[in-house]
Amino acid sequence: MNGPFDFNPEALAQEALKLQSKLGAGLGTLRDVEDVDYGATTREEVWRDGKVVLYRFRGDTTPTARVPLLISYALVNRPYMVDLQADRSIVKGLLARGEDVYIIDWGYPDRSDRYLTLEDYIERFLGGAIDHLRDARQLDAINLLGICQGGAFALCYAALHPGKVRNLVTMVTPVDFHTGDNMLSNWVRELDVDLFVDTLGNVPADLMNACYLDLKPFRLNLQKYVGLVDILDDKRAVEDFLRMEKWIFDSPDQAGEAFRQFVKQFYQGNGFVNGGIRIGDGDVHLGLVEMPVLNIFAEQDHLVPPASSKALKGLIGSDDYTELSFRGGHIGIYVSGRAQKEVPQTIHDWLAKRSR
Amino acid sequence: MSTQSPAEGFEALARQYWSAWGDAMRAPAPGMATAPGAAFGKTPSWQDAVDWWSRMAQGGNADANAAIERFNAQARDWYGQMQQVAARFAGRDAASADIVAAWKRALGDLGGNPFPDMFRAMRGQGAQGFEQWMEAARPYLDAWRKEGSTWLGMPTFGIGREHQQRWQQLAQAQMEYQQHEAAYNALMLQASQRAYELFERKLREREQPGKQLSTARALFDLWIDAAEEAYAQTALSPEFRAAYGARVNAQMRLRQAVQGEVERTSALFGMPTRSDLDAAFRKIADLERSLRNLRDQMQSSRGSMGNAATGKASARSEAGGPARGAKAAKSSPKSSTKGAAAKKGARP
Repeated sequence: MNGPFDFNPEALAQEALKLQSKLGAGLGTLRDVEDVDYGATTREEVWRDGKVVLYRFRGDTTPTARVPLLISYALVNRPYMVDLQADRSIVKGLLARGEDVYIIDWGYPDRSDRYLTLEDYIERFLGGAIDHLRDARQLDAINLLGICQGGAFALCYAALHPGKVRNLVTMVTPVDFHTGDNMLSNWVRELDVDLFVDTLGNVPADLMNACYLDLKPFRLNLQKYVGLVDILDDKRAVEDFLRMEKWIFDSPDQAGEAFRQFVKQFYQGNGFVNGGIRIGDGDVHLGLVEMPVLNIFAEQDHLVPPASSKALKGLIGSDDYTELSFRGGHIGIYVSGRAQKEVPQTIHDWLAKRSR
Repeated sequence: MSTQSPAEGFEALARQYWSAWGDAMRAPAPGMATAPGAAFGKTPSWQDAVDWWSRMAQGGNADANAAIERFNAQARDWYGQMQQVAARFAGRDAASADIVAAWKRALGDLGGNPFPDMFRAMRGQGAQGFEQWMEAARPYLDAWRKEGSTWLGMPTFGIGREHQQRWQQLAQAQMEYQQHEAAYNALMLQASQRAYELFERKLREREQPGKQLSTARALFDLWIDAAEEAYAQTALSPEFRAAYGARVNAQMRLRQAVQGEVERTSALFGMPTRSDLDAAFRKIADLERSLRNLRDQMQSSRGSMGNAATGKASARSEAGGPARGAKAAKSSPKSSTKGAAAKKGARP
C-alpha cells in the first residue's frame, strides 16, 4: 500500500477486538483491585513542629552509616514519593545499603498556614529538623538530600548554614530558572504574583495539578489513559497505575506567602543566578556552598530541565562537585526500575567515599 | 426486566459495536466503491461502548473510579475519533494530507478549538484549572450582569453611586477577562493548526515501506507526538508568556471583585468574612513568630551563660550554631577557608 498506513480492515478489526478483550478483562480487574496503599517502609516520628513532622525510616537491618541522611522534597508533593511501594522506593534502596534515612513531611497547609514564609520552611522547619538530628546524634553536620523544590530549599539552607550540612545531594533541583526550555517559568514570568496570592490566599492543589498536567497535556491526559487499556488484564499493573495516580493527585495546597516569595525570588528573579534571594534576615549566596555536592538530574525532565539543574556547577563554591545524568524523567527518577538500580547506589557510593 | 449481568451487557454491546464495525470495514457502503467505515452512524458508537464500559467498571474502589472517570473523559472521544479515521483509510492507498484533513474534520466535530476544549474536558477530581472557576462562577456573574445591564454604562451619581461604580468595575473586569481568554484561545488555535502541519509531516515520514504505521493506536500516538510538539512551541513562546500572564491576572482581578461583593453582603448580615479570618491568621502567625524569637533568645542566653561558666566554647557553635542561634549564623556567613566563594563570584 502507498501512504503511511500498512493495515487493512481485517487488521484494524483484530486490533479493535484486542482492545475489547482488554476492556472486558478490565471489568473484572478494576473491581478486584485492592486499596492502593503507599509508603512501603516502616517509619517513626522523631520530631514535630506544627504540621511538619520528621520521620526516621526503619530498614530490615541497623544502619551502618554514622551520619544521617535527611530528605527534603517539594511542598507540592508527599513524602511517599520516595517510598511509593516495595519495588519502587528510593528509601528502601538507601536503607538496604546501610544509610540512616530521615524525611521531613511538610504536611497539608490549611488557611491558618497562609502566612507561612520561606523562612518558616527553610529556617524553622528544615533547620529545626536538622538541628534536632545534630543534637540527637551529637554531630556538627548531617547529610542532606533535596529533591526538586526541596533541593532549592536545601541549597538555601546549605548556603546559610554551611557548617551544618556535611554532604549535599540535589535531585532534579531547579537552579537556573530562566533556561529557554523551562515552560513553567515561562508561564509565571508575567504573573502578578501579589495579585494572585492576595486573591487566592493559599494556592489550591488542584490548580497546581492542572498546571503540571498542562505542561504535557496530550501525553498526561490522553495517551496515558489510552495506555491504561493495555494493562487492564493485569491486576498488579493496574494497582501500580492507581498508586501512581493517587500520588500524582494527592497534593497539598501551597501556603500563600511562601508561594509568593518562591515565585518572585526564584522563578521571576532567578535569584540563584542573579542574586537577591533573601530568607528571613539572610542573603543566599551559592558561593558559600562549599561542602561536597552530588547533583542528580533527569535527562527527559519536563518540569526541571537538565540545563536548569546543571547550572549549579558554575555557581557553588565547592571544589568537590559530582553529577549524575539519569536517563528518564522527573517522575521516573523516583519510581522507575532504572532509578531503583542507579539512584540509591550512586548516592550511597558517593556518601561512603566522603564518610572517611 | 433484563436478566443480563452488567458484564454480559457490556459484552453484548461491544460485540454489536465491533461486529457492525467489522462488517462496515469489510463491505463497501452502498453507492461507494471504496469507503469503509461509512456505515458507522448506524451502529452503537465507540463512545457508547466506552460510556457503558465506564459505568460498569465503577466499583467500590475510589482510586479505580477516579481513573475510570479520567479514562472516560479523555480516551473516549479522541481515541474513538482516531479509530474511525484509521478505519476510513484502512486497506487503501492513503495520502497523508487526506488523513490529516479527515482528522481535522473529526476534531472539528468535537469542538471549534480542540486544544482548549480538551483542557476543559480533562479536568476532574484533583485537577481544576482557571477555566473551571469561570464555569462555576458563571451563573453568579451572569446574574450580576443581568441585574445591572440597564445602568452599567450610565454615569454614576446619587446615594447608590459607589455601588454602581463598583458593579461597573466588576462588569469591566469580566469583559477584560473575556478579552484575555480570547487572546489565549487564539494562540491555542494557532498551536492546533501547527499540530496538523506537524502531523502531516510525521505521516509523510512514515510513507516509506518499513516505516508505515500498522495500527490505529500507532496513528493516535503519532498525533500525540505532533500535538505535544506544536503545543510546546507555543507554550514556550514570549507571546504565550504574555497571554498566559494577562489571562491569569485578569481572572484574579475578576475574582477579587467578586470576593469584594460577597464580603460586603456577608458584612451586611454580620457574618465573618475571609478578610476577618485572614487578619486573625496573620495576627496568630506574627504572635507565633515573636514567641519563637523570644524562646530562641532565652535559650541562646542560657547557652552563653553555660559556656561562660564552664569556660568552654561548644564545638558545635563553631560549626554554625544550632537553630536557636540561627540568626547569628546568618548575619555573619562563614568565611571561606578556601576562597572558593570569591572564586565563584559570590556576593557576600
